[in-house]
Amino acid sequence: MSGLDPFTQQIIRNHLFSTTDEMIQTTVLTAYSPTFAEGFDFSCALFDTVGKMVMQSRGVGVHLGSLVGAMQAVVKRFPEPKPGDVFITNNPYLATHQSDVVVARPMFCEGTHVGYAVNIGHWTDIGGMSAGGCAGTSTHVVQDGLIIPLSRLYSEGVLVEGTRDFILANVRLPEDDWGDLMSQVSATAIAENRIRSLAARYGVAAVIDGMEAAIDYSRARFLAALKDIPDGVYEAEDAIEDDGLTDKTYPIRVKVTKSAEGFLLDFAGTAGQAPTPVNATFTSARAAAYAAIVALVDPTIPVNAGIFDQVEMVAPPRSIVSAEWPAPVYGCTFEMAKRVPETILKAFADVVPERIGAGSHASGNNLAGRAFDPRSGEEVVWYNYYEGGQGATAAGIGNDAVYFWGETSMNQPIEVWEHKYPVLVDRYAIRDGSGGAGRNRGGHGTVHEYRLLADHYLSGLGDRHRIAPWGLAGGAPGTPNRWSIRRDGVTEEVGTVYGLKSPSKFYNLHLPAGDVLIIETGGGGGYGAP
Amino acid sequence: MTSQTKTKRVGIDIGGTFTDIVVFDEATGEVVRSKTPSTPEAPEEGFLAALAAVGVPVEEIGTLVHGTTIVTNLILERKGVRTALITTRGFRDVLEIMRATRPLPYDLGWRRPVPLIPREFCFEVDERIMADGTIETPIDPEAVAAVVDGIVALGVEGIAVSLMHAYLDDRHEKVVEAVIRERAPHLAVSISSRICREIREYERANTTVANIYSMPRVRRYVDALAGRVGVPGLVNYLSSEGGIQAGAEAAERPVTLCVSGPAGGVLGGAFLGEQIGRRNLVTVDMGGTSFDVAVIRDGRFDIKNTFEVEWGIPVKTPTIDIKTIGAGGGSIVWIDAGGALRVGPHSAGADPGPACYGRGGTECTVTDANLVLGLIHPNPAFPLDIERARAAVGRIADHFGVPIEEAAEGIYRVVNAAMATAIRQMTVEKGIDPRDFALVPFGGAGGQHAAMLAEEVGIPEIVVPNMPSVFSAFGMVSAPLKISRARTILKPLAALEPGAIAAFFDDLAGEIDPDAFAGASGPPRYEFSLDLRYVKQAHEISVVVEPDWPAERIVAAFEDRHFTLYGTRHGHPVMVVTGRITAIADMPPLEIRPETETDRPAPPAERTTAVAGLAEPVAIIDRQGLRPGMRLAGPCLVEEVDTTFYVPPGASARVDPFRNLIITVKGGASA
Repeated sequence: MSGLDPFTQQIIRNHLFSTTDEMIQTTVLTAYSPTFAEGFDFSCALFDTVGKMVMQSRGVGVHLGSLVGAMQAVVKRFPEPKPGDVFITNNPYLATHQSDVVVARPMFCEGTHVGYAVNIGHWTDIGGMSAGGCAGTSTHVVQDGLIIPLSRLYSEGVLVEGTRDFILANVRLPEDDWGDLMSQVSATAIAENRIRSLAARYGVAAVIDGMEAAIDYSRARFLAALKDIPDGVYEAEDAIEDDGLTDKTYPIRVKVTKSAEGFLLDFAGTAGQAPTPVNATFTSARAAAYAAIVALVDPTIPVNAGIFDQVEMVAPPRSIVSAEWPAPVYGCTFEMAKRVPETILKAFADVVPERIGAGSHASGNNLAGRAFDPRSGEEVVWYNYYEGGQGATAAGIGNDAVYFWGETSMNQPIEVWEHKYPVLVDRYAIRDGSGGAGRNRGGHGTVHEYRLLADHYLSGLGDRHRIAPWGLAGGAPGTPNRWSIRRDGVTEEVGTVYGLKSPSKFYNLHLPAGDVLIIETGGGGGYGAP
Repeated sequence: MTSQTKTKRVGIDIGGTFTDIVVFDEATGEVVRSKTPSTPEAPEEGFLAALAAVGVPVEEIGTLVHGTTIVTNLILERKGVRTALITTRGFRDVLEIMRATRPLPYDLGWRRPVPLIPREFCFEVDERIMADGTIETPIDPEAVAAVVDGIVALGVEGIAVSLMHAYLDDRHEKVVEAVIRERAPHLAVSISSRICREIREYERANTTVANIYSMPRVRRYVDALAGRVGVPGLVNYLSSEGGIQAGAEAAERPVTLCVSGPAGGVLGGAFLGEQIGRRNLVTVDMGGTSFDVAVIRDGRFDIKNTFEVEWGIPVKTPTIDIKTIGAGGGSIVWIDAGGALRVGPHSAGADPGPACYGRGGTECTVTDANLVLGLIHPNPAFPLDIERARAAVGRIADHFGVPIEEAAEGIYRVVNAAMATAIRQMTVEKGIDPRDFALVPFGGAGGQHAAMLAEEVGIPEIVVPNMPSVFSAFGMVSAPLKISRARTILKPLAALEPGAIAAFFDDLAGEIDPDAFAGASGPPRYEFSLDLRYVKQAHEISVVVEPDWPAERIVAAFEDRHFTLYGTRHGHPVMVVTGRITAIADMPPLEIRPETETDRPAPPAERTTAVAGLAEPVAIIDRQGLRPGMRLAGPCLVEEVDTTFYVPPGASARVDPFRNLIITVKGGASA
């Protein structure tokens, strides 16, 4: 227990939160890509010296929970960090998919190591077979992009040029990626400065003590809130609907044991790992599970190790939620990151239906395009993921058009998008009628219509195009996601046009200029009989 | 506006609870003030009551500047009028979708805010301008007329028009505007290329919509006030960027009034700085519900170009950079589910107010803690119930198992730390060293915390203005005339011909009517700024420039600013996103005559009191008895009718020739 008085504890906790908030601001305001700066596809957190999370920013839940794995690796690999060191990795088996690059800076106050400031964010391109990632049918992890082993990017304040040069030589957008990386590095530097000013005011020991107190505080709140959920063993099942190569579905089964101490999540019976990137690494699946548990128990508790320590996850080896080398795992941040939490919550549908929502569109609907922009003659690469309908709850209708699950991403303004890419957006609208009927209807998804102004190579990785978002307590299911192409006046699903096995997983399709790509995202399930 | 008989300059600040008025007489240098209750249902009544309270005949008023919360309230309470939106085919849901985000990642129960215009009042027309300015689909006035006729049939009072890429080319929006004016001359119209000529379709549309949504009611208010006051053109309005606007401009662009009231306080700070020869100030306004921080550096305050009226409802208009947190005297102190002490953001407000007001409030507030600590005291004008305060703080103390005074001290520390963080974010964290600054506290609760904030942040000196409780109204009296315009350029700097920026600013200046400055002491001066970023970067930084600067100088200014804010300098090519121009014309100077400052002893204490943590009783001194040259030693309390200033042990204070109280905090340089 902390020796600090409760008021000082609160002051330090507030300071830690405002520090993560400033990390967010710094990243957004300096980043280059719309993915970072408009879409907020990055997250920030503070860790203690042994790699336990102390405070996290708003951001993407699966990023944040996955940092737990990455930081354990950092602590082990670099047991004696020095002031000015900055570490970098995107090893997917330590955190999430390769596009998410982790930057960690040990923070020092008056020469004492007090913890780490960490930023994880999605680079628009990370090399690999598909520009902008999202190769729906890759069959080896190295195809999904460059893997940066856990390395020093700065050594005692000096840039390790070899590391930088090696990374930038292997990506399609070296300037954008460098701008985004610098925004991540700046954010961690800002955090160290803020923690130093806290230490200057209250002392180094109080900062260290206050960080541990922040973890204790979240644990106490979590344990108190657990009392409102009945103990028991609850089960649910969902699935990934295909792997892109075949029609085979991949069941996800979870048995949740809820006790006064926390949760045991057992994924026994879940399908073995797929040959394609619908898999999740264990770390990222566990991160997704954390998001579900926080949403279920109390979404207002500051999320950190105090909660994580009360959630245990087990899964059979080499399953679709614990994939190992060389299984590609690109979809883990936007398919499993949504499927895993919804499956866990579904287990509580008969227990505390008022605490959960119906199923949502539950897919990132990730698409990546590559083209030569006729306005500049330059190669451009875009990557986007799409908001959709949220499931209805007992208290109200599901929100239309939101990024969901466990994230605070934003859309990229169409006007900015059109400046950057040779795409004319003919329509960006609510997809009427897509939310499932119910006493409270599910949220509607959206429709984007992209008129391509140049030939495009398009890769896609989505799901929930066949299995509809589930309704709750008698509500109707929502409408699934759908991607189509309008060519010469005829509109057909992408899979039909190209004769694919999957409607949502493909790589490098050639779409001629003039095609209209129509991205319709799913609606959430309804709540209660209509 | 000024002549021999019209010597009075008046500032009227209508807040939620009180209407403050300050009258400055140019002939005598005399300043009169008053505080009267606001009348939220009919603000013009409170306005007239304030004028009556100071007994100034309208005929004697040369200038009147009014700060109002009317626009913010209309938006927050969704009490604007029924209006419609016309957008480009395919984009009618722009207000529904917003930015598709949510404030909290894990909260399943959150519901998005209600848009200012419901979906069934959003319409589309066929037309399309592309990102490079090409007209992809021309607009057809007849088709627009059919849409407008349909809208008119719905019985709306106004129409907002926001078309894709209209910041590049306003011709299509002007066609729609002309059709509306022709078909429905009775309707109010706002087009985005005039209200917010900037990229990002949601923010531009929402700004235009916020404008039209509030316009008819603001216009009625402006007309009603003009009618009641009886002198056409007398009542001017204070804009969010701290400038005087004529009633007609305010009624045309009400969205520029969102931060009207707080802007007055910052102007007051700027004026005070000039008066006492200090160029660097941090103003802090702590009232009942919130704490506002602004920085005046080298005599100027920063302007930001977007303001969020509530979460997800942004308006892009020039606004004084004020940071607001939910910490005020009425902020409720509570224990959260984890057993931790929390302060705010909920407030007991003015009604029922803190427990010690004895108006039925039982929850513990910051003011109750301050009363328990002995930092404020009841007086006949402002009775406070110490027993109720002790009971409220006592519940917090019981939770932690500590004495009541210790709990009050804990509350005081937690709220001070939150306010200090806000000050730090506005100074240190933007590369500004607070040691070069003086703190200017005002608002009812500012005085009890200012000394602690100064110590916490490292500000050596506090300047307590002579009339802190009506300081915003005072600032309004000192406001200059100011009009701003902006337009997106969105071209790489390297692609602009020499002279292109000067030509752009020349053109933009043409949008500002020189006649608007007729009442000023001289012709307007112009300030220019460019929003710049690296070409591949996404967000821009506003940099003050001169139109004739060569490209290298612009780049250097941008990179310096980027380095100050974020610690990096990339050396990459630079993009010019938006150009901004502000025309400013000062009113005749406010000449408040200094009194002679002579060393003399402080007046005797009215009485003494115990302050928690101090062994000896502390003197309470009535500010009315203070005269220039008097010196005070901490600890002491300086009391006014509606607020109290705490001078802690180790600090000292003196009264300057303008009756400002200059406090040197512990460790600060001697005054």
